[in-house]
Amino acid sequence: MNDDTLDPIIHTQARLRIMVTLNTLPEGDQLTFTRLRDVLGLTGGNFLTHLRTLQDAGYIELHQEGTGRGSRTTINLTHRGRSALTNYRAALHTLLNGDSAQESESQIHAL
Amino acid sequence: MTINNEPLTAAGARSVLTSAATASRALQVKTHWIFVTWAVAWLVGYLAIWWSTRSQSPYQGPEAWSSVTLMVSLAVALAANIAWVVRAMHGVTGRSRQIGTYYALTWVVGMCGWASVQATLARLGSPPGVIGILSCVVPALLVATIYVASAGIWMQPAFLVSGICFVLGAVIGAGTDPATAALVIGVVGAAGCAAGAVIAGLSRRL
Repeated sequence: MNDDTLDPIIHTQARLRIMVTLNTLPEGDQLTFTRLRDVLGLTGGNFLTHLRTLQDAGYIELHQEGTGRGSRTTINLTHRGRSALTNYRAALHTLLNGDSAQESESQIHAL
Repeated sequence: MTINNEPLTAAGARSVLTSAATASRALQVKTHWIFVTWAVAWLVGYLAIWWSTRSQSPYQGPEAWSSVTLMVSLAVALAANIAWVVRAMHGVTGRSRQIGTYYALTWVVGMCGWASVQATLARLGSPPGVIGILSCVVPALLVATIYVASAGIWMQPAFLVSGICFVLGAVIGAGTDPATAALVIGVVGAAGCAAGAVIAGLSRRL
């Protein structure tokens, strides 16, 4: 398969993990910035950079709730983001299928 | 192949998949453990009621220690459930949180409503046998109703199977004496929850 089929926006470990984690939430749900960061174990600055990249691509939405000390940022996957992840997953499946088909397939389904 | 200076190897992709699966599990309520706690609570609680009333003739009602055992069993299961749900849902906002809030309210309203009816029956001098049967059958029907609704909300067959077991337990229990009804509800309810735990556990692995 051609490497170009893998979406370069998603195709980093950190951003793929962000997308997959957000994709586990049902549509209509959001996850707070701090919980997502804690679940993924990423550092603040680096994490924010990846979020901005995904936001600029229209894959995620960031919402600011409240002001001052009680404010929080929530994040959710957009329809476009879910679609992009589905396409990425299919491309990755094809890529890994040539390596060790059976093992890869079960792991892809875990996504 | 390199994109954004991060090479994708099969091992790297596997690492991403593994960590993603771990993250996914952290955000999911452990439904199978919730069913296990309720199975234990129903079994221990209602077996205690049965044990304290099994040789009564005529039926006078459960002894205080068995009522306390039932209450403590249910309270422990409830506390464990709340802890698991709060832990998994921490940081999650939106539709799931709203559904969860209404779901919790449904339990509170249902159980408080039943406690109120039970108190009224006792105040009006209803026979202990009637109160004894209803104390087993009504909670089972309440659980069955909410579980079947839960199956529709979360599309989890574990709730449907468990709910059906509670309906069966209530129907069978209603046709017996109060002590036997407690035994039936305890055993069938626990079996229903155990079945729910197995199904939820299998669904989680798929």
